[in-house]
Amino acid sequence: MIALEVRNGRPRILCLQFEHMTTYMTPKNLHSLTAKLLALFGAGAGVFLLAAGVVQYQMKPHDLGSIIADTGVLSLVFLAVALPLFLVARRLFLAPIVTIAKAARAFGENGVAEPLDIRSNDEIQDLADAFNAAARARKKVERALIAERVRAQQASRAKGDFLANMSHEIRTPMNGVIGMLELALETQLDAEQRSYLETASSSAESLLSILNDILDFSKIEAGKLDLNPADFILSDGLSDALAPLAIKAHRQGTELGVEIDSNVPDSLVGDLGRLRQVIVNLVGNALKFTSGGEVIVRVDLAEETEADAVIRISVSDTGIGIPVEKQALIFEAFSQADSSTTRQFGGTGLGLTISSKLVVMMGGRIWVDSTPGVGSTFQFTARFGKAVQTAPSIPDYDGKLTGLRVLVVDDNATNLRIVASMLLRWRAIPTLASSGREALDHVTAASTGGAKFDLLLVDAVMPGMDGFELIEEIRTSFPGENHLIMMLSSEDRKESIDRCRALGVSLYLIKPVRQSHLLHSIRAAIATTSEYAIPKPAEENDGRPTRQLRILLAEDNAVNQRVASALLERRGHTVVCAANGREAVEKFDSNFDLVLMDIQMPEMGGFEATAVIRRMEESMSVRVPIVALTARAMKGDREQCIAAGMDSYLSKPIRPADLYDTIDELSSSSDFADVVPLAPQNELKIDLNALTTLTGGNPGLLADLASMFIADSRDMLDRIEAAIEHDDPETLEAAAHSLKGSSATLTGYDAAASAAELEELGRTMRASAGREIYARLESQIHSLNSALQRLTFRKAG
Amino acid sequence: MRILVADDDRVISLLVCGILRDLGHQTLAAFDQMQTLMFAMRSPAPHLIVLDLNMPGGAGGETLRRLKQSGRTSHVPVIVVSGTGDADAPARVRELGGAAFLPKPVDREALVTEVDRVLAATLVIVRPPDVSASRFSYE
Repeated sequence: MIALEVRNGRPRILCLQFEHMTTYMTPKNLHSLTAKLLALFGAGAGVFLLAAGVVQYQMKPHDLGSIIADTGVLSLVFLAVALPLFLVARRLFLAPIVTIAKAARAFGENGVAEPLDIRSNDEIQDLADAFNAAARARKKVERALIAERVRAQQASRAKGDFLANMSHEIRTPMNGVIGMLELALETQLDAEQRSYLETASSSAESLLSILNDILDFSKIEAGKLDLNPADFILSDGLSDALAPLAIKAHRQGTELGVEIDSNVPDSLVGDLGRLRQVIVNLVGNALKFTSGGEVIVRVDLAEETEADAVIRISVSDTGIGIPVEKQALIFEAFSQADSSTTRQFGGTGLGLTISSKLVVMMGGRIWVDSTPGVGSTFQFTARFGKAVQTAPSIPDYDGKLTGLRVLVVDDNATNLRIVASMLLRWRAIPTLASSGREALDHVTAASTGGAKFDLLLVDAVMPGMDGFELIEEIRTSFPGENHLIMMLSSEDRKESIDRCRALGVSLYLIKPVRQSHLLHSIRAAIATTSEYAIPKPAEENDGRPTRQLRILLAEDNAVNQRVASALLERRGHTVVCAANGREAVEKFDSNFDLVLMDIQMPEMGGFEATAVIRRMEESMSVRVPIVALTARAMKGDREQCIAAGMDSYLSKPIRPADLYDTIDELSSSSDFADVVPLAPQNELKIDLNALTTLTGGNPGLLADLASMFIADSRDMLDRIEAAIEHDDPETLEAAAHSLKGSSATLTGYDAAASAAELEELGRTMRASAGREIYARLESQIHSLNSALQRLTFRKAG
Repeated sequence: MRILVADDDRVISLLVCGILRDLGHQTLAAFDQMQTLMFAMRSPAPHLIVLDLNMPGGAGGETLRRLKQSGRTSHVPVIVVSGTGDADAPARVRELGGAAFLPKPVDREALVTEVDRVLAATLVIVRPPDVSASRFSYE
């Protein structure tokens, strides 16, 4: 900016200042520019004043008019001289200065500097050059900075990638180490070896957790950690998270409880994995600093909108507490409350830092209240979306447990309340007992009142009478009532499990009990009792003749009896059971279509009973086919059975297919000439009926099987061919065995037979002799595959 | 129920898993001895194992022997499925603590019957899930 003042007829430059550019104005520049301007304006003003002086000098009063006219003319003359002069001056001096000023302003404001194209060969040129030099210098720095930034970004990305790779690379071998140690610990070891391996195993576990912390922390710092929101069930997620910790809590004698407020929505959308991480960290810390006492996790609803829910989770312990002056520090990185803490309790001290960052990412905050010596309560909030549709895995009421009378026995009031609320949610009727004695009173009262409990949920460890003693007492005092009992325990010990087995406990649940597990377990358990039977899936019609028969089943073993009658009833047959030969004879009448007779039975064996029945038939003038059931397939069994007057025999364990075949054979007609050979001889290489039966009429499964076999059989053929080529009997035996199995499964019996021959060649070290059989096998597999291909095509279409 | 299906033959494994899933069970497939042992020991433990007698790394009932020896898996009932021609196999399986023996090729009815029978006669143990096992889970 240029300011001029005219005083005493002389214009003067008061200041000349370019905004933001004063440093570029050297005194010399300023001086010569000033001189130039002075000369210019001096000249202009001189002309003007000279003209005015001349005018004044010649002025006379009487010709004022002409003076005015003269002055006007002179002014015009002056203007005519001054205007071009001004324009020239403007073009020469002002315009470039304005341009420079504009450029300088733009440079200052935006840092954008375009090179100025000014040619005047004077100070203005100097100014422009100085400006351009400055602009160029700045551009250069800028370019260097940009390049540096790109390099830094690349380096950071490389570091991020490295980190991501490392996390995989580190975790994979760690998994191997931990898994193998786990396996090694299961082998026969002496005490010394066991203690070494156990130490190695726990060291590996802590190393893994430290690595996880460090990797997470670096990821967060690098801004590489993203949340992966998905639908989840809060209660299940919590149980999952706390399960491993509960075992640890139990070991150190700390009670770990969870309470979820009933108004907390269970189906949420968010990153469950990260939520779990925060909870595990807080509960893990709480356990670390609490010995004995209790750690309670409480979940309630802080805020709810139509789409969102803010959940508050608090973890309270009765541990050592945190001094007030340290409370603010604990969420900072690299600052555990005391460096001695790290030494005493281990850990990176990064857990809380990671947790607090994760909580912030989840739209919440984390804080702590603590009194040293009394305990700490860590609380955090997190915002989750509410799931539009409840996920299918939610253990919700489906009607199966309505009205189920359940006695819950647990000395811990919190656990009792948790189980009770789950049961109520499923509309079962819980009765609560806080000790074995109390439970026994309830069972007695229920028994005399005629409304016995459908299910007893018993905690294993209780003061006074423990769970095992209670069950023992119930079993001896109420022998006929056959209570359905589930044991809840924190211990995963063989002795406890064996004891449960001996006491006829149906289910052994290891705490913490996941809601859905409890629900499924109860459903499964009551399904086996008669009152609450799960309907069996409808049987597919597999094309077998379904003439309904009345069958007498003589079998002393209860399990075998159940299996056989189930198999027969599935076919629509009616079964009358007898526990021994004598009972079979008593129950026998002429209306039976068939008798299944076990040979070895107490009181009266199968042979004797058959003889009696055959004698009875003479007076009834019927002959009912009798099929022997023999425990072992011995040579001569068949002859012995026929000699005893039986028609056929089946060896145990009973194969359903054999059972059905035998029954079909005997019941269809007395003409045995019509028996159809088992393997179909036609060109279609598969038995569609058998395949349909095999897959339970599930076309998807059949198609999957077929396409997998088509893919695998080609590999297997290649391996067999190579094994024959290289005379490698071991590979031949293995590959042929495998192909034999899967071909037979898919009813490719001829291929299975050829594969069996090759397997035998491999076993007897004659691999190279298999060329011919291989050629046959290849063509058999080929036609089997094309039959399967047609099949999958048909099923898909 | 959670059923671990251990068979190195993918076709048979798929078939057995498919049949069991149609019955409403959850299945997890293992293809060699090491996998079988690891999955069997991990939480949640299977309620039942359907095992091929000859697995890579564990021929001739070795896998069964080890499952029955380990305190963590000995309580899990094992139904052995085998295509062995060996007539002694069923007896040996029983000796080693197998709950049942089924010959190959797999017969659906027999499998279903045995699974129902074995599950009905078993004390079911429900262990809490183990976070480290999340990579392999029953579906």
